[in-house]
Amino acid sequence: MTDIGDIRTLIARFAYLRDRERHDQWADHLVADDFTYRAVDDPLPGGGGSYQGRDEVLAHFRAAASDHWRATHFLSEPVIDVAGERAHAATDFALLRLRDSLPAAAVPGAGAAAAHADSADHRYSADHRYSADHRYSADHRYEVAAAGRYEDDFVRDADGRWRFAARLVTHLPLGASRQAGASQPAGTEHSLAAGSAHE
Amino acid sequence: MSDAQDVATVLARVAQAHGDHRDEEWIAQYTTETTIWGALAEGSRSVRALLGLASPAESHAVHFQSIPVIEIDGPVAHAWTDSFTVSLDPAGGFAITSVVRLEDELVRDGAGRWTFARRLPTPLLPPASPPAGRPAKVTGRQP
Amino acid sequence: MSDTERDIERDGDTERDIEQIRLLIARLVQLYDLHRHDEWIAAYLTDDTVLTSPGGTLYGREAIRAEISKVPDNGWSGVHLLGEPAITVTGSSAHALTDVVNIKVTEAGTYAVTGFGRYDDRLVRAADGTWRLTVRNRSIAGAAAPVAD
Repeated sequence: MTDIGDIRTLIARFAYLRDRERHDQWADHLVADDFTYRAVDDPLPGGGGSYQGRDEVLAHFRAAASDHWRATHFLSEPVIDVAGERAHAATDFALLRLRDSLPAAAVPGAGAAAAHADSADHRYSADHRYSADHRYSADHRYEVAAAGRYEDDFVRDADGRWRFAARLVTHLPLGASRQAGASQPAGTEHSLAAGSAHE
Repeated sequence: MSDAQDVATVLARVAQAHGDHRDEEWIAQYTTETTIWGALAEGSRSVRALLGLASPAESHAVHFQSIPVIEIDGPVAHAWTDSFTVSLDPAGGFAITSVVRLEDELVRDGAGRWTFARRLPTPLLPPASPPAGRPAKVTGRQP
Repeated sequence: MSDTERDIERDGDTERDIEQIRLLIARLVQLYDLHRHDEWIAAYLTDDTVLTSPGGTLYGREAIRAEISKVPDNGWSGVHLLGEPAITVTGSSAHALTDVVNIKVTEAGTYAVTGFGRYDDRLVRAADGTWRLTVRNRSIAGAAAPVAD
């Protein structure tokens, strides 16, 4: 695989392991010893901050761990630039989660055991269909909890493997809507003249 | 193209075809009579029957797939992909109707064609209230 | 060079082409979301690029630039999440299909999906080896297809 391919897979694997709370694995294999992590404008409680070194970052994620899978980070196609033994990537993301406000009893299969954060065994029952919509109730139970961009720096270590050197997480500012919403007349969202030509 | 890129392309084409309601197309191309789909279907015919229960053709949805983690082991590929579905509801709003973890095993035939040996989707669902017992243990291959 | 070596080299070239096309599609939307329109228009389009969406069709880089200039710059207010593109390369031409989900900040100050669709792209490799977009058909869920010109 190419360097760009390797780094793309690294970004995906990091998200995969984090969401399943397999923190030891990403800490051991995917990040450098001096890995730094900084999150700006994080809308989630306790989500922001700056952490220096693998151990400090690991402690931060472990402190936020829960027993139940409630959210997933989705990644857009990353922009990756490689320069020798260093690389940089910019990857847009969205964090999707269950909506807390909806009662579990409203959902078919709510009597089943909770899905563990890292569970491969929560199979479909006969009540769940693999349909285009995956509808399990009449309510929409998922929401976008956060969105933004990862700016990542990478370093190639002595054995040729890429590792994260640093991650900066910047979130879409929640005050953006008040400016953006006022600029586009209702019903013109598909009109080229409204500026959504490349929306 | 590398095997990993081939597999990633298969996954992307299946998601796009599924979103377009072109299910017969991807079922014919990427499943066989031994494909296991979730806990409910085995074989192309069963996959067809299962998806025949899906939402009507006039509905609009996208099955967004995050970057897959793919591991190649000779003629066998394992892929782990997070996916969510957004639908356009009749009132014109957008609703996220599912969040799913997909675990796939694909096999490559002599002609270099990849097909699904199995797909196991695990949906993100609310926890039980009260909890029904210990959390399920992890089984199956992990990346 | 043996046939096998030629096949391996050709596969490697295709892999690199696919990689470059994926990067182009990603760079374009990231620049767009930051309102850096001059950059993506200069780098990734040709003079004759055709852009079609439910609102109509734009012909050529300058028409696209003129239309985009009407979009007010309200800062970074949304992201385009791109799914894995399905890309086919044939010589110096390519076809890419990419699902896209728009995420924005709502008036209520929360994040929400505000649209989804697909980019149906045709690309060519220019003489300098870089890929450029010659046609983009942008479909948006819930919007009528553009009337043929």
